[in-house]
Amino acid sequence: MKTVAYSCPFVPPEWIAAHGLRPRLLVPASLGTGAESGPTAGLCAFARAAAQAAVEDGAIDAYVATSLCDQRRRATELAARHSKKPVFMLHVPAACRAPGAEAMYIAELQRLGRFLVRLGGKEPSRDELILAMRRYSVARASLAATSATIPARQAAEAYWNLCENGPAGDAPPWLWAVQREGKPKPPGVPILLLGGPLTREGLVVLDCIEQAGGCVVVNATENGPATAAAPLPPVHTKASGAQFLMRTYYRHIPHPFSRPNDWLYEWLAATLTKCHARGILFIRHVWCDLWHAELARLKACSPVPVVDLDLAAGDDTAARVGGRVQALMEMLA
Amino acid sequence: MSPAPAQITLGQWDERYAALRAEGLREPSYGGPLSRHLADGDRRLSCLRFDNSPAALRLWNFLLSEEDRLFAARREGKTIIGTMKDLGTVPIMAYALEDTVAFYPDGAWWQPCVMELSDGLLARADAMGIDESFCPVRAMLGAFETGEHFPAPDLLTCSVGATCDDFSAIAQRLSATGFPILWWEIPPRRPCDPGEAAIRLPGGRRVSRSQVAFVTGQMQHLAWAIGQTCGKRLRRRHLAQSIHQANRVRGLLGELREEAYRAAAAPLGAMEMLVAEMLAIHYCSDRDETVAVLEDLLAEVRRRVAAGTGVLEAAAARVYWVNPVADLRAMNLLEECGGRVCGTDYMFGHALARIPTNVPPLEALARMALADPMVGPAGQRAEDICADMAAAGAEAAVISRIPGASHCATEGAVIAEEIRGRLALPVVEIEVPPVIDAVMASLKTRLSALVERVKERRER
Repeated sequence: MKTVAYSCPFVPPEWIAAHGLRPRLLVPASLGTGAESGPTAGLCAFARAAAQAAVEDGAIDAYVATSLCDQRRRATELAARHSKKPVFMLHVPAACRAPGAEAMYIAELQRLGRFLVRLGGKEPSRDELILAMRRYSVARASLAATSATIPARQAAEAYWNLCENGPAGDAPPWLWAVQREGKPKPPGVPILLLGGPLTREGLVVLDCIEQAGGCVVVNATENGPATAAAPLPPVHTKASGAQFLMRTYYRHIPHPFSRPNDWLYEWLAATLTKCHARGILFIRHVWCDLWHAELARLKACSPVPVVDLDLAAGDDTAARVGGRVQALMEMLA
Repeated sequence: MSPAPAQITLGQWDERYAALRAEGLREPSYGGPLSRHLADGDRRLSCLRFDNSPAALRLWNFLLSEEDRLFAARREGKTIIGTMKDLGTVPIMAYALEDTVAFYPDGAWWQPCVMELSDGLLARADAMGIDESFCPVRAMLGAFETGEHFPAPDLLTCSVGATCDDFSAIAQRLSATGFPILWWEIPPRRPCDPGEAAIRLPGGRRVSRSQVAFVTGQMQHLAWAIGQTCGKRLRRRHLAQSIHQANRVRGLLGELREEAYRAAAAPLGAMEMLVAEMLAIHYCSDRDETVAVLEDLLAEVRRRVAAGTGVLEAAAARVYWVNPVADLRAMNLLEECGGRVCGTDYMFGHALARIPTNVPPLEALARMALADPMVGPAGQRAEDICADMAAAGAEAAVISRIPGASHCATEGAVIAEEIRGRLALPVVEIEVPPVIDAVMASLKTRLSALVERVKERRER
């Protein structure tokens, strides 16, 4: 079975799985050393690392990139220039209220479907797609319930595991393992994590928060479990599978790229009320304009303190993160 | 008798202006000596070297009086449309209606240069959380806040999707501070998938019919919104007439570029050509006057070409310039180093190409928007640049990075690789901040080295 990698939250893995291919969320090991060959100045290290890994990893047969930001679009083009690996660019419309935006997302998914068929996949029936969506939806819900009781790192890794290995049924073995072997979630000051995606090395952020006496109640980083697709609604209507994907992904996932991006703030306000977080750790990659530009607005409208943490290639992540997390905890003491 | 073509300082222009007046120079309403703009705070002018023709005087006065024109339009009760990012598309719709003026707030990115940072616009953007890691177009935020550089528009539009992150993020920040924006989507131009019907764009690229249909839908929405704002219906014949006039500007500019860039000795400096090219996207808030300004320039260039004269020596290295500069002084600097511009890609090639007139007007505009070099892959832009360089007889290229701009992080590498691979010509990548004084020495060294390489290659 061919493996199709993706790194953007707006690529539905169930769409790939329903085509009989193996979806794999690509989480780079790190942001790199900063001494890589090729352009680095001005380039988002995460976008670069993800595109590079997609092209170089021999276990990946094809890569689905998105135009969610200019950095992703251009980093992918640069990495794929001299590669023969199939790369598909899925356009996720930014002007979410413009006429035809939702229809375009659906059309792009259908175009992706044709790409997957050319890759060796099989076009799914509506029922097959709904079944795949239901499995993912159930698995996400189970994971969300479990995540509330286990350390943040374990919850993040379990979510990535789901995105890499699929749900494998309604009660997947990996979830049992998490439930059986998971340590109890440490008590502490409730913190909401918001911002750009984490690398595997970046998970140290979660450790640092818990070591400093915090408790990550919501991990809303771009590849974190809190910004996953919405649960699958009842499917009694005649809507197509792709329309359900549009509703659960395009309409639901809070992200600063939308124009206007008020939904991110509405979602955040509702989530803060629900989770009782006392502080926000805001994560952004250096040169990521979309998240960076939100910082001032976020600080102005947040009812709880916000601490900014910028990550770059070649950083001593643990040391820098430790300092910023400590600053947040002191503000909340 | 007219003096020989030359580049002169602001002080020398005062003397030249007095002489021209004495000879009976007739000027439009915005005319006058260039040094009056210095008194208004445009300090950078004192560091620049200008073309000494009356046509250039008119061009500069036209450019530097845009603010006055916009505020006058407000006083006269005209509808003002602020069009952001699309570089050349939406103004054609706005100018289709009488008593409507369109302008690009993006143009504020030159204010920090022209006023040598004394305007404080970048500092205001800093205070709004948009620091120097963003493109200098962030000056636009400060300009909206102060209201000193243009009046608040009646409608503000912005294209997003396949646009740079900086602009999208800055415009979102603007929207969050209370300036409502009509967002419209421009998807990344992509090759047709197997079996997809294709449409040819201005410039020759082919794109899927579905993308053209989608963008045509965006144009329809914009046309409706502009009509609503103006209280009039934007009819097909209005648009067709507006496209005809836009093509008139593009045709003039095409001739000007052809004459100026192909001539053995540059008949006009790079800085004036940059300003002239910019007119194609925004008309400096007066399209009829744009035509007159370009006609004057073209006539002057033709006179000089016919006489075999120019502002630079014929031996100057023929350099192709990629991306606009935040500091106009950089264009003078290339010429001081022994180079001349023989072709350009200032990121708006779609605004120079002729708009098709054999399809419905909104579809024609959609095709034009999709032809934008910045909405396609950098590899395609690089191919186009190589073709243009070969046609122009370019001997080298300068890729000018815009500080903080997201596209500049990667496109330079792609473009340079293509130029070296296809044309085997030297390339230098430089970064031009809003005021280059602090990096002048290093820029001069790099540009001089490029020119020296060109001259070495000639001798070989």
